[in-house]
Amino acid sequence: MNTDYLKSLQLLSRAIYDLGSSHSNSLGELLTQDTLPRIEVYQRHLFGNIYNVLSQDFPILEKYISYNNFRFLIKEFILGHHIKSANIFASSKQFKSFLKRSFAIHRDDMVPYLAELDYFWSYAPSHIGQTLSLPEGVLTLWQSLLQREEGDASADQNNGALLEKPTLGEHQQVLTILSTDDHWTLSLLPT
Amino acid sequence: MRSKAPVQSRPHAIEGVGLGLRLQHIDTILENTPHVPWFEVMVEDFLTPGPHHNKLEKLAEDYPITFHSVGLNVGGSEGPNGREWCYLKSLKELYELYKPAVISDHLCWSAQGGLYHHDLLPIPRTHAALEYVCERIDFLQNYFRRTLCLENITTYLDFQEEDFSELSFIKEVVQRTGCCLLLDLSNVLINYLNRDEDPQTYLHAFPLEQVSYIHLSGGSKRDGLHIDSHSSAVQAEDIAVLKALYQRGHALPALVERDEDIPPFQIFEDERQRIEDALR
Repeated sequence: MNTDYLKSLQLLSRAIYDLGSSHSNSLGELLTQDTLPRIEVYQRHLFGNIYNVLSQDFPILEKYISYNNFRFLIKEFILGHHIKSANIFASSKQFKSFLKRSFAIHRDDMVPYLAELDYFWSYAPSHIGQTLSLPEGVLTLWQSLLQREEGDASADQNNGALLEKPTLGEHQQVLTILSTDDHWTLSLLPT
Repeated sequence: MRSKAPVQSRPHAIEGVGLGLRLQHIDTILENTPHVPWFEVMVEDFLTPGPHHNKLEKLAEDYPITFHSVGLNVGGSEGPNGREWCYLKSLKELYELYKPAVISDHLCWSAQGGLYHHDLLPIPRTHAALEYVCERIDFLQNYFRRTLCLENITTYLDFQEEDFSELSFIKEVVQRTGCCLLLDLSNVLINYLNRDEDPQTYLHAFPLEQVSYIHLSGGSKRDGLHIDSHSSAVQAEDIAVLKALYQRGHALPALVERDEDIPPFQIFEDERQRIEDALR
């Protein structure tokens, strides 16, 4: 009996994960006809909840690639990778790895590095004393985007091209997080 | 015979109208120590290390706290990955560290077969589901060595085949597991608004003697459907229904929640105060 119960959850789960699809055929026997279209509410929640976390943890990446492209990448992440942790904040680590593996989707070698740096900074308390090596150019771009006013970024949905994108250098820069009381700073280690 | 969790009577450490703690408010609260009777803490906010833990410790010295989570997945199954254990272990450590007056989650499922939704999904209320859910609650209560408090959710879907009404399912779960309940009044009202039905029969029959406290929040409307979005102030209708419960002699602790478009603390606190005044 439990098997049937869990199978019905699985059917519903997969239908929600297929963001945007109606699933009237597969769910017709499970749900009443009048509430079946409301599967879209749960599809929207799934996307919205993940977007809220990733947008908070990767603010500079979102500025760099723009709101619409960022949402596109999140959709690809959910569809292809699925969310595999009970802790929603662990999705950020999974998203970072996804960007590293999916050059074919974003076609920009800066994207995974900006994601690395965003993640390093967003979870600074977990990274105190740890180091992050990045090619020269990443930190400069990240800082430029950080200093940009919100209005500048939203004024142009595809503004990445307007920003002077530094070339990725051959040399690595090593960053660390330093902590004092309840504050912390991003620091460049001497090479 | 099911093994029941250690008996825990309704906690008396919380009373009056409390507030859901949101991280952006914590500094203001610690600085001004407002007259809020208690706070409900979202456990998921404290799964990562950081200075917010020190702040919570301080807050817990000044105020009674309860812990609320969204990931216990009472109706679902984790799947083969074992990741759930990290989550449960973290929760247990936090419960043991802070000893909150109540620990709560939802009577719903949120993951199945390794796919996590981070949403509150409705359980098809069949005999098989009841058996499964009760076993899972037993497991969780024994693991935490605490009585769980479970909240009724909003549901936008109806299943073709069900053996229980929502209320009879809830009552069966309580009877079989000894868990407590968190009555989300706003969820009840949203469900009934979406069905264009009167919630009074439901509310009169709800097992209030098992309720630890009540949730209130403001929703939104999209494509004609009322949504439990926690994105606006609590509706006057919700407060009126709570007041009616109080007038029937059920002066249960209540809690105001907000998760989207979160206002500055003082506005949130003013809303709480208005509700408290209305209940006098």
